[in-house]
Amino acid sequence: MNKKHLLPRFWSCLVLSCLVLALFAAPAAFAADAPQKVINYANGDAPPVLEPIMNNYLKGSYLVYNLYDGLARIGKDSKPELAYAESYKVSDDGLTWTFKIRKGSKFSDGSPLTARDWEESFKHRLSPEVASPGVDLYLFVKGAEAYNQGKGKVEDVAMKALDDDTLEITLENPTPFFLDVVCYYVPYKMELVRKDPEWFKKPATYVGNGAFRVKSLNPQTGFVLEKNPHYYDAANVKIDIVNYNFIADDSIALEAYRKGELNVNDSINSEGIKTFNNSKELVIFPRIGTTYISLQTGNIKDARVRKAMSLALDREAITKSILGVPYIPAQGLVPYGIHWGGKEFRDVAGNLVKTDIAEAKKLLAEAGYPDGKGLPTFRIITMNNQEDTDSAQAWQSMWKQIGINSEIATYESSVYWDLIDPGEWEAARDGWTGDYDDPKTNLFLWMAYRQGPEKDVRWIDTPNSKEYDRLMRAADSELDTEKRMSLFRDAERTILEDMPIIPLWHGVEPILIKPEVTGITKSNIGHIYFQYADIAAK
Amino acid sequence: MTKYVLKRLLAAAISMLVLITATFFLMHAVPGSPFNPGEQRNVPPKVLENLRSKYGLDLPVWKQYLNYMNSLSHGNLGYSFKKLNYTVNELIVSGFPASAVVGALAIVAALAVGVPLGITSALKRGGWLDWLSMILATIGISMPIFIIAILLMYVFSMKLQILPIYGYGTASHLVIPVVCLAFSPIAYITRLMRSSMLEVSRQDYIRSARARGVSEFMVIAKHGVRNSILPVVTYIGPLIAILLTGSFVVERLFMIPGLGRYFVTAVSERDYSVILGITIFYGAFIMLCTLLVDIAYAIIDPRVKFTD
Amino acid sequence: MKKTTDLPGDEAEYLTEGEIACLPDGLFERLPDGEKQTDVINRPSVSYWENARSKLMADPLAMAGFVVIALMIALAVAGPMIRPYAYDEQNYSVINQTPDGDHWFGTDKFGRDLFVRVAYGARISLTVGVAAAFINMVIGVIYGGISGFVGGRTDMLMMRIVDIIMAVPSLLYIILVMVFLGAHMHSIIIALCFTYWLGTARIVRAQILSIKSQDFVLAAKVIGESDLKILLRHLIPNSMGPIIVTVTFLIPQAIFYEAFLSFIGIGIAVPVASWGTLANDSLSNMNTYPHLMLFPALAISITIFAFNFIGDGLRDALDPRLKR
Repeated sequence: MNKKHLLPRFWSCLVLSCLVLALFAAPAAFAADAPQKVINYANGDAPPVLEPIMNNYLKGSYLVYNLYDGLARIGKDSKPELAYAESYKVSDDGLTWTFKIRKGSKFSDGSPLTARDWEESFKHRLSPEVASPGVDLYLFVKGAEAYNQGKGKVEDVAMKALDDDTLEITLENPTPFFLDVVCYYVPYKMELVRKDPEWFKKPATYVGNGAFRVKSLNPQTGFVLEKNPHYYDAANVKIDIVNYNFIADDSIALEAYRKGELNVNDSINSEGIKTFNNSKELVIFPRIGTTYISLQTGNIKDARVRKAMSLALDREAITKSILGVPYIPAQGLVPYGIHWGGKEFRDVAGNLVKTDIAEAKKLLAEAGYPDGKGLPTFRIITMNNQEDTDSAQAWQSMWKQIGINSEIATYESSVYWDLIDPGEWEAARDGWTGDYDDPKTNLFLWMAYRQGPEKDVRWIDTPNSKEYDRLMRAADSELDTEKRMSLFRDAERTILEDMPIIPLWHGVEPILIKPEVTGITKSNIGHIYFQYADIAAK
Repeated sequence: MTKYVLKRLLAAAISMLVLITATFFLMHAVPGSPFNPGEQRNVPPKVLENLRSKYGLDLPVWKQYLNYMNSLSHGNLGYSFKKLNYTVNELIVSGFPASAVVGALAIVAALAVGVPLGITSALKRGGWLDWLSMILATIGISMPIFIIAILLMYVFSMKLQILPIYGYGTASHLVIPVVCLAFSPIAYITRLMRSSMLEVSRQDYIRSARARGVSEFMVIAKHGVRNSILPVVTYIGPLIAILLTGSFVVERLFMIPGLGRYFVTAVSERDYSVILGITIFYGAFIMLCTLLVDIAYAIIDPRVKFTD
Repeated sequence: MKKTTDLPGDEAEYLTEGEIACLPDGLFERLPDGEKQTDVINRPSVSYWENARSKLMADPLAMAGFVVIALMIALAVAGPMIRPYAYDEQNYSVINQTPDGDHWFGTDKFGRDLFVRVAYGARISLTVGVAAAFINMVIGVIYGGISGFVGGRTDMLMMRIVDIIMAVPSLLYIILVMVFLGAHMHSIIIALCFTYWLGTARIVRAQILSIKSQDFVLAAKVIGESDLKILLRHLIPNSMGPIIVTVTFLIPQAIFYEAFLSFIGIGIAVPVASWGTLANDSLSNMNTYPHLMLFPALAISITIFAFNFIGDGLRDALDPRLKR
């Protein structure tokens, strides 16, 4: 019977060929890096938009602001400092800012970069035909909003290159934090952008002016950035290569970091935080964002019920135990990282958020719903990611303690925002990260012009909301810091007395950095900068 | 035969038309849209409007459909609504090779292990190999692919340190993804092969072949395998299309720049043009594979005739 | 004496001693005595279903499978009742605990009892798996059976419809169903019913195609049996092997697909959890809290092992050609 001999022979052949394959495959895993200073970085999946002009996503910005620099840049201490501008002057009314551009500024391909490039790039991105979604910071400039919305002319946009080195910008309102904002006005090489719609897909035409430039790119796996020799501050850039990897899964990124395939890991989950909790490798940067619950004030009309819902939440338990992320339990709407003169705004304004079950029950009874009797089952809607569903389950359970029953519906983000509008819910997860160091960046969301049936929050026509709007508008035109901040503090108190939203926590940016890597900077809005980094020899 | 193939191609063309139409309207019926007012709240409404009209989303759906069919007739799948300024053709061209390489290797591995394992366990029913294959098959289907992936990664990348954790490029990068993808097909093919081999081995022609003194190898290879491989062929047809066009989970975990990731991301972002583009590509592929399978049937199984 | 075929409905043919004697020496071996004995037909005549049942009862593995599934069902029904915790009862003082006498399977990050959650998850997973597999098997067998048996234009048309449905991205209509019907168990089952029968239909059709030209079908036609009867009595039972294998695979696939839906965020609504979502949620903390993955993964594996044994037993029992 030859089948007896045949089968074992087949199997041994198969096993042998597998072994041979494995032997060939294994050495390839140890391909060594060049002896350069290389950062291997990961921050989640590929950003949704890779075209810098069309980008409006945080993840995309992480990449873009290593490739582009503005007139100012975010410094090591995450405060703005002059970059391509060597000096600037502000008029007495605070409206006209004149920047002097450094002589000999260059794009990353070595071609000259002048004030005219700044003006042209700004107006290109602002134009209604380009329809770039990421222009909200552009609208501080006088005439920008009208032009962007098709109501004004491009000539009326008040940014003008007086000559090759001088750029004059006139603003809509006095904006004390404008230096923060110009960090995000970056120049594109318009000649290439106009000529070649595919310019951002090829390293040769992906021309910027940042500390790094594109060496190679793949829209799904990541970018390789190399030091830009034409950068004005190139002498102080120590890193030669940044491998910007897209790794969708946090567990994989964590394993890769542990194994040393990454030396900076910016996509870190609660397991990563737990593992490195007592290690110096875990660095936590503040982020000027607050996560909160939007309450449907049309469905929960009584402010006492809304306050009871806030009092029932144990924010410490949600952040520390359940999410396992070192978020700061919210003390108000304005997060840490926003300053009142030299101090933290939050420390001056104080803690406006409490946990008190007894008080919550009392308020609920006063409102006519003792132990929640008479209240319908509330609908909680939330997005489908782990953090948001975990958080929602905690609210559900904490509200149940005071007698409020609720059910959770989760949706994909693309559906979620559509469902927010019809308002068929009572509580919805929401959040906002600001753009600049001023309370307005967080508080403007509830101003009357942003409210209304087509918006996500409907807190209008109550005495408090009217007062809020008045305070916010007063702050807008106030130049004195102390008075301005007091107005913001009052506005914050006014809204939290009515509690149309329940603050949950203030954001942080945890990141894992190997000990030999120094000088990694994250700005207060989360952007990472590699230009101050260095790698010590092992 | 030629007539049959031509007829099938015609039917495939009509099917594609139905497929495109069905997907187009289904996609627009699903709630959510690519440029979402809520998601991009710092965007002035007017800008969003401009963005929508730039991509033709302000038109009625039937008009969008006509526009799409028009550009499709020129072989143009349009621009992605999310990966702005990337064309769908470009995304498919960039994503397909990686998916195809991983998928093709997984199919080869699945067939190379599954078919012989199935035959062996059928011939030695109740023997240790039968048990081994049974256990293997059960493990293969009783663990979700993401758990298999994490376990393999843990053992081979973290503990033994012989394979890289993620990425794409060298042969060593392919090992874990291919094994992950092949796991469940191996299990399935083994079981199907065993089951149909068991049946076939009881058929008259096997006995008569043995009786005629045909060597055992030829009996199994020529009569046994040829007759018992049909269910495997049926299974492999759609599987080829699924694997070659990418498995989302594996591509996402190991950062393989493939089509599967593009697709699932596109669905959740409502990137209409990418959804349609990949569906068309995938549909054409699936129909081609089915056609090839049906032809393979007729060649392998003398009992099946080409019918019109 | 040799029975040349064991297909049902066929007459066995016998050769006489004399005929055997005419054959040249060396071409045949003489059977040992023991094997001759087995050829004697000494079984009472039993019906197909009786026979199947007795064969199934005699298969220890299949029986073990049934016992395990029965235990799982018992767990699903009674599990949540025998412990003093609700599946969604949170207790922040006992979060992430390893198994002990009070919390048999430990607790999760909300301090919820994992045993109760696994038991509750059994309700979801078993129902989704079995319901989806059963419905899909019925649709698939009928559709594939008709397509393969009728053949011709009907077959072509039916198979092209399958091709089209197969090519329409299932995620799209699953999302549609989930958004409109809500993230409940029945919407997942309905969503799964759109696709899962396609594979079964193709397998059944292929099987029918390959056996419908065999003699016993012809014989049945000759004696004037109706088409429906031929399909139900001869063709489908004879393709039972691959069908059962497909269905035993459909159950785990349905359980995993449900988990995949949660993986991409459109699965069953929290705080309800299935085995798949429990395993899925534990993934990100696999190294720190392995018990959170161990128990749901074990539950899935054991159940699927059991279904496999049952499937194997059923396959042997239902296949009319595998008489022993």
